[in-house]
Amino acid sequence: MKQFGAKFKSLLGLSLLALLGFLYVKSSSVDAGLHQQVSAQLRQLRELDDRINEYVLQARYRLLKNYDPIVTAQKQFNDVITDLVAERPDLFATGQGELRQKFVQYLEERKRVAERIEMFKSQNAVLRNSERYLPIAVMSVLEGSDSLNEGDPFEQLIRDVLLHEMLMYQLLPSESGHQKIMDVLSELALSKESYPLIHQQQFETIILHSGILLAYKDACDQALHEIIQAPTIVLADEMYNLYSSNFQQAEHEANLYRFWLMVFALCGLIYGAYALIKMTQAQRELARSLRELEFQKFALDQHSIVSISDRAGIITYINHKFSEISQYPPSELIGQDHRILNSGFHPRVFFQDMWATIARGEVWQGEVRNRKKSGEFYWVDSTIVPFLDAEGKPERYVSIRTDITQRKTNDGLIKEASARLSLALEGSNLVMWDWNLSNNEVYLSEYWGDLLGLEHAATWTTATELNQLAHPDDQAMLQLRIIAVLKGEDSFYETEHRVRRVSGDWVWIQSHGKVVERDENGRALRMTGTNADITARKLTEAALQKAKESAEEVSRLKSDFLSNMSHEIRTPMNGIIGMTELALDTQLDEEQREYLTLVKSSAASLLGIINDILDFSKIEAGRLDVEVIEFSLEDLLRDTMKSLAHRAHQKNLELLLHIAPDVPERLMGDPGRIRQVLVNLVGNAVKFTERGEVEVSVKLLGEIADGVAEVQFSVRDTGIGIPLDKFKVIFESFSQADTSTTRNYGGTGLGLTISAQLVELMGGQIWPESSVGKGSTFFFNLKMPVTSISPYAAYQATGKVSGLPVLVVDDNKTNRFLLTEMLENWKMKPVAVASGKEALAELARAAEQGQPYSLALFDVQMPDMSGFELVEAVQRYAAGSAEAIMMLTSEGQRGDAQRCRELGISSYLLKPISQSELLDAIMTTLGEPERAQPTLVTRHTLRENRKNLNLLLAEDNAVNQTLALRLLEKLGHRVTLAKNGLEAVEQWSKGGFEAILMDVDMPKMNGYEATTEIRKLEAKIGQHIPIVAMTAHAMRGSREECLQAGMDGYISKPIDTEALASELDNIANGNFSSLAEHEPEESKALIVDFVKARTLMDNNKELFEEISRLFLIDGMKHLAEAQQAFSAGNSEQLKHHAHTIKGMVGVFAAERTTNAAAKVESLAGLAGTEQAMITLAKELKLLHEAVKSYQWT
Amino acid sequence: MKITRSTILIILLILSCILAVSILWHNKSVLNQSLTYNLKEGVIPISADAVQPIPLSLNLDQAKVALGRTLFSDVRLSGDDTVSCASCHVVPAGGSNNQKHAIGIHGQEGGINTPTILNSGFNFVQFWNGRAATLEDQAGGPVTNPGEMGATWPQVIKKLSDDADYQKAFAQAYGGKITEENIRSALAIYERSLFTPNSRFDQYLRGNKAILTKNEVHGFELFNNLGCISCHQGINLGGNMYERMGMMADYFGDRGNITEADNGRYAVTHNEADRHYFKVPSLRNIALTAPYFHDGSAENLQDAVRIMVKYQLGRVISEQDLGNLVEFLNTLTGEIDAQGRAQ
Repeated sequence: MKQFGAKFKSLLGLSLLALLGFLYVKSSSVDAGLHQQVSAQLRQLRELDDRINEYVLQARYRLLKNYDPIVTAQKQFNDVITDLVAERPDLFATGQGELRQKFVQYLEERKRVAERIEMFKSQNAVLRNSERYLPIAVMSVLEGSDSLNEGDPFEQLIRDVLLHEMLMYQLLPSESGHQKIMDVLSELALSKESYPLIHQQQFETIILHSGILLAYKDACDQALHEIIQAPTIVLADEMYNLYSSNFQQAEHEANLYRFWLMVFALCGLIYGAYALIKMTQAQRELARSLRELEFQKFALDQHSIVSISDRAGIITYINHKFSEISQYPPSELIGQDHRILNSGFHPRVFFQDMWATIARGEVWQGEVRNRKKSGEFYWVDSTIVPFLDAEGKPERYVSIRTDITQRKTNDGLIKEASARLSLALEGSNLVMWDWNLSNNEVYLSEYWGDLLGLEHAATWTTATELNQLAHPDDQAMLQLRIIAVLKGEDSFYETEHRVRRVSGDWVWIQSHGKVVERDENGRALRMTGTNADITARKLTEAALQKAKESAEEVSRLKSDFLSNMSHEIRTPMNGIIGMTELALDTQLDEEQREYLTLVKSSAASLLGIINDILDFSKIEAGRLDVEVIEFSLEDLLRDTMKSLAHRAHQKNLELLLHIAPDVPERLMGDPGRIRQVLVNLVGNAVKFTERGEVEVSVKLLGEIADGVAEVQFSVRDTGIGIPLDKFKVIFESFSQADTSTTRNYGGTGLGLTISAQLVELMGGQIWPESSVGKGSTFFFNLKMPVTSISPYAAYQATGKVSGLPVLVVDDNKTNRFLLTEMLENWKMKPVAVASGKEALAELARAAEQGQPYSLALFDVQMPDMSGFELVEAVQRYAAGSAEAIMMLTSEGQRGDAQRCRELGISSYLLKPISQSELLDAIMTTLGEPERAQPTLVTRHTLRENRKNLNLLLAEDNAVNQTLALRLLEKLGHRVTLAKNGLEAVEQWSKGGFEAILMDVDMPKMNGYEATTEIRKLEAKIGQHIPIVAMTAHAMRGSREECLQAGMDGYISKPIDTEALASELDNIANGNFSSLAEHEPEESKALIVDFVKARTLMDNNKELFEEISRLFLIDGMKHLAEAQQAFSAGNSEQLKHHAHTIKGMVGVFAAERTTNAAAKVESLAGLAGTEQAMITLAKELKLLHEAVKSYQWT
Repeated sequence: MKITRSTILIILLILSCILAVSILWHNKSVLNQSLTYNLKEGVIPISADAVQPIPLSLNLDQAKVALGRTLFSDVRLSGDDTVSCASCHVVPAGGSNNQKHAIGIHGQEGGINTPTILNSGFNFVQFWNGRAATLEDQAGGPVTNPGEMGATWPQVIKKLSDDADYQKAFAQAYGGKITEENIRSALAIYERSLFTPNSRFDQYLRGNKAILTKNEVHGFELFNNLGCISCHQGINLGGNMYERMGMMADYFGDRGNITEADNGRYAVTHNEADRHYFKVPSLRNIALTAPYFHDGSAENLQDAVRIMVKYQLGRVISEQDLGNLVEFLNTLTGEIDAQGRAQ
């Protein structure tokens, strides 16, 4: 039915197509363009017809004197006819219609006309000839030599009758005229015989032409008449009309076809669209159904073992699963009987019954054991469905099976598993329990009885009874745990508790369990788990704990011992080193000096070893802490390098410092520890390098992210290097690259271990890169928070130094590179040369070109020509080629400064030079007014500038007393001695001291106590004496304690002469806060920033002066009031005044004063207020002075 | 498979529907335009005067002219490769052969005098008896005439097709193969190119009155007055009408020995009225084309004029006038190396 429909449809479509084709042919049978042309041609024919007639008429009446136009028009006429026939042969050449008949008739008519025209042309020409000639012939008779005799009757006859009448006849033919002419002509013919020959000829001519004139005139006129009267024009009109009407009819017909074509085309379009949509839908539906079927089959195939067999039981199809499970490939099964799979398990009657059932057309179901190809057996749950034919007899059988081998074998396995479980429980000392919460009954496995020492195992008990067995201390805990698990808060139950045995002693039980059943409300119904005996383990644990505690106690004791030992060792070491130094400053002979120098260096290395061991033991004991404070990286590096420079220069090594420009200036970290690592690494580098250089580089790794910078430090030397296989070992305790190294270079070998530990403590990594013989580089990376950006921004912003030409003269390549980089970083234009000779040449060249150097940096130690020699040479030979000269030296030597002054050199810098130091010096040299003249840094200048102080020394140890006394006196200070804290307070109260050096460990009253006492007393009188602690406690914490006690400075024993001197210098210079590291805001911040202040006040001079005036009057008044409030203990008042001061100084951008006031405000009455007040007073005074002296420019 | 077929069918249906509708729209739009039929312009300018000068140039396809020229002198157009068109129509000699009758292959003598091909493009029909309406019709005539060139078209086409140069030239000029039609066309176009402008007479007509001598001017006046101009008019001074030989006297009776050729137009129309009617020949270059008349009976112009005056005009004129007329006729010789021959 469906097929028939489809066939019908395609038949319909084809016939519609055919119909469309037919209609199209019909509707386009009328070619409009061609019609236009044919119409035009037909009209043209008629026109040409007219034209030819016109030309013929003109020719007849002598208006047209040649026949060319007639010929041309006729040719054109023929062309049109040819075209017509060529274009529409159906109408004009072969057609049978009326039009064709008309056309043939027309052509015949035209042919006739054409013949007439030819006739006309010929006759007309002859007629014309005679017309012209007759008068001449007549005249030849009448006049001239051959004329008739005078009076001849023919004279008059010919002239007046013949000629006259003939001319008349030509114009207007008449019967009478014709008669008259004929009369004359016949008379002439009759009479000519009587005339002489000449006249006879004349007469004959006249007769001939007259005859022609008569005859051809009529003939011509006749032809003309026939031409003009020819029915061709009428025929042409008829033809045209006929054609037009034919066309209109065809057009009408075509329109009808067009209309139907349009109708059918539209129908076709609609039907086509409809059919397409339908078809797409059907296709989609079909595809979906197919997919569905495919899927169902797939699903069936995935799950089931499917086979189809014919009526006789021969297999015709099997699916993949069938083949898989039976292990027979399809080729071996198809065409076979199912008996191939028979396992022989089932009796014959089983299959007979099956066959009987399905043969009846009923579905059979059953479990069958089959045999695989390999001989193994498998079980299937089988359903056989017979497909019935039309007569209701089975046609084929489809069997669907499921593999149930697993289920069949599981039954046996379960029994085995159960047995295995109970065996396992018995063997593992585990008690299995199962608690039914609905009746509170608990099942416990047999071992429970053994555990509690029961004679008869009570496998069933209740939870309540069980709980009572638990140790009273554990019962509450157990309840809590169980409730948490039952509520579902904890998913597992796990406890360790004690249970009483029958014998009365306790056994430790570890109990595990979980809820295994809950009702729909989430209430627990059943809980199962195990109990294990852990008594033995518990006992072991207790023993271990005891052992650990005692070990920790030992460790603490050891650490304390170490700390004490440190103190005990340092004290005598102080004596040894100090006294040796003092001795070295006395008058000695060479031998003595050498011995003592050896004593000093031995002591110093012993101290180093002791420090290393202490650090190491602290690290081992885990007692080394890392602090995080703000510090200046550059200051740290500069100071560290300065202290190491000496050692390096003694070995003639260049010590270089390179800080990458993008490294932030201020960071948070432990400067002490970083310094320690650097000292160690540089110390090692110097130690293991015989010639060349040691460079310390610092650079930023990556970008600063979240305010944290990762800084890489590296220490590079050109020493002996480390073999690759030793890289790991060198960081391990008590090892050097080679044990022989220790012998060659000394040291404990702990330095790198400690450094590595320290770096690790600070959260960084340390590693070396090295090649033997070429040198090593040690790197370590630290991540540190950044508190301020690079300090050079201010200089760079001013741009004062940018573009400055600078000449660098240094024989060391690395130094040249470093200096060039620094200078370029400030946008200067450095040129670097390697020797004095080159420098002179370059300076001469620059001077010649009129571009002298603004600045020249000369290294002092250079081969061939030293820096000083170079300066002299420049001054002598190339004066004016460099505006300013700066000297750089690796070692400050006595007299260098003097020599600089003599040579008029403005700056003399000790390498390694830090960037800020160099920039400061350059700015000063180039006349930057704000900067002070840089100190000429040599070791020897320090003492020269020293101011003598009146000091109080508190020290109990006699050796140290002597040492300190000598040392201080040698430095030019006056010292009063106090033997303990009490004495110190006493001495201080007498007054007259400018600073106190306070030992911490003293009998009667220790240094802390004494300091606290002094500060307490000072507060009442508003004074502050600098107190510097001296302690042998190198252990961490001492520094903090000192500061907490109100001390200002800190020196560790053994006393480092340099450190002591610089501390005292600070005091002498009024900057007694040597703990600058701890209060960087104050020390680094500006007293007043007038530029900013002016900006804040809109650069208004009047406003600025008014505010300055108010501040000068009121500022000190508020300070006095604040001090009064402090003395009176009125913290509210103090707060108020401090706040007022803070607000007042804010407009001057006086950070230090603002900070000091803020501190007072925040503390107000709490500990430290006193100190804060002192700071505030000092800062305010400084600010007062600054504002007072400020000149608006 | 079935689906695909019906889909194609339906798409075909839709496409044809769209096509049909679009064509109908197109046809409708054409119908609304008006179309005029342009006539082919005649070669001769329309003039009411009896004579007019030959145009100085004609618009002709030069490729075809060149091809025609080659064919014109190619003997392969004859059956035995002995005779070409140029054998009889010797262009420098006035387009004719100055023989009484044409000589065909195997030395056969034809029955009629060879008409000149110069200015034949202006003639209204070709041959003495006007049996060819166009030059294209004429051009093939002598080729297949057994007495003239005696060839057949398949034979000629085969011979020419063997020549690669011809193949190339035909492809260039006609964009196709060598056919009879193309050969005729090329020959005809070449013949049209053989027009002879700028004769002294034409210069006189164009206004240069001083170019003719007194006698010649007198000759022209006689030409007018004697009535010669009645028939020898138009651009070619003849060639546009038929006239009976022996209008005023019995030419053939006087001459005797009447031949087939003497029947003239009768041979074409078989109309008794057309017997002895011949195409009036052009007088252009008449001085070059002796002997004269269809029978080549007049060996020189004096004789020819004398016969004409007697038999066609029915007059007698003086020897002096006769001389002047001949002098005039000599002014009709134009420049034969015009367009066609220059290249």
